[in-house]
Amino acid sequence: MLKLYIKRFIQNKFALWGISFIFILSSLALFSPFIVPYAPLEQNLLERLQSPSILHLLGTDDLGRDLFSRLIYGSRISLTVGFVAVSIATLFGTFIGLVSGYFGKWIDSTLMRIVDILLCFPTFFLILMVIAFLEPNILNVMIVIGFTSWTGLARLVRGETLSFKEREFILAAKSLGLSTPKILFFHLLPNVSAPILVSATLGVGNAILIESSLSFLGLGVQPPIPSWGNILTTGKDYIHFAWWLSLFPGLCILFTVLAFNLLGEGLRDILDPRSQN
Amino acid sequence: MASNWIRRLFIILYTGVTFTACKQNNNPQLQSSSSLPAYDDTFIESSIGDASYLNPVLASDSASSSINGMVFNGLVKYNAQIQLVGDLAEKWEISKDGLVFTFYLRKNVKWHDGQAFTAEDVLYTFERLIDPEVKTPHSSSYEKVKKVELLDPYTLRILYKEPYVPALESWGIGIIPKHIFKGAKGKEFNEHPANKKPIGTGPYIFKEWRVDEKIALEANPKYFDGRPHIAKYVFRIIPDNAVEFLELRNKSIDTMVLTPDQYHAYPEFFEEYKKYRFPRAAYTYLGFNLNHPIFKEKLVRLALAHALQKKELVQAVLLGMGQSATGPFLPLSWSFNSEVKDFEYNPKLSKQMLQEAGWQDLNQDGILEKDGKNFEFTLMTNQGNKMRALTAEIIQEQLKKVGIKMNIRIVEWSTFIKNFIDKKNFEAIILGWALSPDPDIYNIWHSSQKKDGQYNFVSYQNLEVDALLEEGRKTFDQQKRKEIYRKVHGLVHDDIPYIFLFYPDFLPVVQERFVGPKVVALSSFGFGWNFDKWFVPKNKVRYPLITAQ
Amino acid sequence: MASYLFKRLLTLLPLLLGITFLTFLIMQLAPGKPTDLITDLNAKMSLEAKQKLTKLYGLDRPWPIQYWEWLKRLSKFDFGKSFKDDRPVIHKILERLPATLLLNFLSLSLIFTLAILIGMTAAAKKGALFDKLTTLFVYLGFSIPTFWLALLLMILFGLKIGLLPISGLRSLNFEELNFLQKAWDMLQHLLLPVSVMALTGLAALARYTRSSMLEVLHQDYIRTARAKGLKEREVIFKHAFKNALIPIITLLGLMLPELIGGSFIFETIFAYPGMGRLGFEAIMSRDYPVLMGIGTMVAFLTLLGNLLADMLYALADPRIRYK
Repeated sequence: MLKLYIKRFIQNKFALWGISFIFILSSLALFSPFIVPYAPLEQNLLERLQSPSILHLLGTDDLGRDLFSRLIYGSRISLTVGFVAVSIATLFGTFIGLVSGYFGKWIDSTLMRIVDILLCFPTFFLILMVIAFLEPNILNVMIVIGFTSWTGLARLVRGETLSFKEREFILAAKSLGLSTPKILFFHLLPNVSAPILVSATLGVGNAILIESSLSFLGLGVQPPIPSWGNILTTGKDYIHFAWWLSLFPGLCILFTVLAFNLLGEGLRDILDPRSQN
Repeated sequence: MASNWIRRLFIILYTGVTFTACKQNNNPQLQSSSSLPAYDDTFIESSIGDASYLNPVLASDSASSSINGMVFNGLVKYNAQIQLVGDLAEKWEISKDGLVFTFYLRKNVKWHDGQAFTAEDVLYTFERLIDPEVKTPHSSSYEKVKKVELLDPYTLRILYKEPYVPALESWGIGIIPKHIFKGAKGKEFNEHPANKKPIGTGPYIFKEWRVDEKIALEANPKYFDGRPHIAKYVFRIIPDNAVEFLELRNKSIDTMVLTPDQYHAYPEFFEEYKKYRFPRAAYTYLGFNLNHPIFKEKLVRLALAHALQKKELVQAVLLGMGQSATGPFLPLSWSFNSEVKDFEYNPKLSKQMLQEAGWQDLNQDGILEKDGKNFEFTLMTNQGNKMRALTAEIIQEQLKKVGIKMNIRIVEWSTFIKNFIDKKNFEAIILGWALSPDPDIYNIWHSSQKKDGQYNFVSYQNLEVDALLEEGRKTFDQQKRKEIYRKVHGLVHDDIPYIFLFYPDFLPVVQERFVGPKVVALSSFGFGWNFDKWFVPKNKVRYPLITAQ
Repeated sequence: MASYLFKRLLTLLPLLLGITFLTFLIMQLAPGKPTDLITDLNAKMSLEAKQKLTKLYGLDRPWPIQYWEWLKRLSKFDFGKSFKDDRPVIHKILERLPATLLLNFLSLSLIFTLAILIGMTAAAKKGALFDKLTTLFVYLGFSIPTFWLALLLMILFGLKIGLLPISGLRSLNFEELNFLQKAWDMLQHLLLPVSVMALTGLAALARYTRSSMLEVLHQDYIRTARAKGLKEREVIFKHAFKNALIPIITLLGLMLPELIGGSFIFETIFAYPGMGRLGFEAIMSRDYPVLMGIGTMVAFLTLLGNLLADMLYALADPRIRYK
């Protein structure tokens, strides 16, 4: 089985490209202290808004900080925002979906009504409101994105759970007297893990994008902490006379989100039991 | 009007663009016939936000104030030299004890709908300002009024409970028409449709308001101070600064207030525009919570004052387009004390002082300690103000050099005020004050103003300053007042409740076809002070009126 | 059909109630009060004057009472008055609703058309170059930060080429134009925002169309149709399309709130006079009645959109019967 997946993976160019990009990016983020030529917060006011050169590969920002170093460090922040938000959403959505689908009855209908209500809300409106009211900082940004983007997954997991819960292996587990949590997490969960994995992969990209949109409205990760979103927002104000300040963070976001999406899309194909060859 | 000014000035740092028309009787110089002033063309301005109430009694935001300033007049206004002169009032008298003001109104003034303006309108405006049900943010300026009496349709007398010098300035507020509001009170007044379709006495007549798009005005041909030349005024709403600048480069707006970086951008961006630069009546400061265990000690504050390099701040944040500050007044104003010497930048001295205060780096980690605790604090500022965020980031680096660890926390405005400023729940802050032409700063520095939600949120207390501020509000003699406020300047500087950082420059550009923009003392409070006297020469009109002229 | 509709409408009520309750709850998180923007750091305003304002706004009462009052007024279709300018919230929303609906309708139509074209063709040519290119294209659109793309296009088409207006919805001389010129003027202004919105929102629907189309193409009746010797084009557009359409319509309904939510960014960057900006300003200035009004309105539109999607669903699939 695993062999088949690996074979499919290698055949899927998009997924391969996505995972390679993400791998390289994660290594850069992990080892950023050893890579960056300058400290990301180190100011050099005499060298503000320098265009790209040998000294500063991608130029400098409005405080003379090295853009390359900031983007490398920013990858840490942006990836963290993406992963943490997605972890929250995945844990929460999976749990709600499993519980809702497995227990059914009033638990199911209550939870699904809540999901319905949340789905009628424009997520971004909700996020904006909560963050503005709490206080925009990196922690709140991650938590709020996480807690507002679990609904789709919950529905998905619920549907899958419903289709599995009357199957023989679950009924057998029940008759053996296994505890409910055991059935849920050791027997049901593995069977619904494929769509969860796909949704989580797509979610990371989405969270990075949401953070940049929040930054545009001034409610994302706050400076001086460099996130790609707030570097791009700063760059936006300089777009007329310092093109590099918006171009590079823009491309960082673009390629990273693209990589996660292509990987997610690839995973969907690869893990889909119906897809042939 | 004056009161509007002040209101607007407090917000000016956030919104940027403000133009008002204050009136002045200087005839534009006439040149050859083709360049004669035309009664034509349109002036297009932009703003980040839309207006709220087109009613000077209710409005407090800068967008509304810009429009109200063109549609309404006050009894008095400031002239180019920042002296109060008559506007709707022809002249006035103030009794010796300062308790009785008598205003003699102009007799030839008509509202835009043709009705005559009388003292009844002034009385009505006043009644709404003190009406407890009216949502006016301006009421406190009129709390000291005992009574307003009408002597005849064009004369009124205002009695005060105690002498209050800024009272005269407060009568610069726009006067609203009683007949339009039909005597509406309270809630009815707050919700009156005329708040969206104002009728005033000013140089421009309200024409149209398309929410979140634009507000359009037209010249008032019967304006008592002379028909304005520029036939139309359009106030466009563009919420993003980068887009606003794009529109400027595209020549689709006629004016904009630039950021220092934009001011220094490629000259070809400003083809057809004239750039201006002059001091703006506002300062940015770093304020300490004086109840904080570390900052209670004056020596520590002094050490910090010596550790900050204001020159570098002005250079980096404003690209040199500003001036370092020493106190709560504008250098141009008569209340400014030029003998106050700024703290010299001297990190060595600073470190020495900190050591004297018990702060030493014993564990060699680069951060000073005292009793085993690091010198670490959090500086807060509001979100959405790039200048302040930059300032904070630079100060962070400067303080690092003397061994102080400063964290930055940027909080959204409303939360910042409610949770941190009002409750005095901060260690240090960066904020700004806009200055009004009158130097009365009682509300900020008097020790009685320390309650939650009041403006002495740093908890400053100096009995000598208290006494001076009380006296300053009651002293009508300008020479004596000057001495009082100069003393205040020196005392506040020496006590270091704030580190006064800098005065940013005002950097407007105006399309070159407009003749009349002039930089005078009053410009610091608003560049469009004489807008109703601006004109475009006939051969340069860009948007000719289609209707027959 | 009528009774089904009625039933569906009834289920909308608890949903709407839930949404308003949630909005109200979130607003209780907020430490700021709407009087802040008027009063704070305005040194000329005394403490008493501030408290007076708080009372006038009715903010000194406990929140359940405030919510109850709000509901009572809502039952009379009264959304209350804005804290910012005392105008009825419903007027403020209705003023901006047409512009928002116009933008969303145009973008949605464009997304729908493009997504179906791309998705179907990609499915028919699965694995071919076209499939790969369009996959990359729709994901590129999805991955680019919208405000950055918008600004780049504004600079390119507005400033450099000078073909399109940069921002806004109408030219300043709009009133002086005749009907056709007006339409042309608005069209020019709408071109950029609609394209950006469509481009960035294309991915989900295009991919979904592709996959549901693929699924349909594996079905027996398609094989039968092919076996009968029908032309491939006929098979795809006549037989497969109709069945693939059903799930697409459902997704369309779900996309509505995202689109309207996305308006915050588009309207701010394009200086477009719509509901998103009203909502954002209301959030920042704690204008509760406006926030509640917008929350309710958006939820209502979404529910309506879902209902509409369900009915279209029925039209596309005669097997579905209303019970």
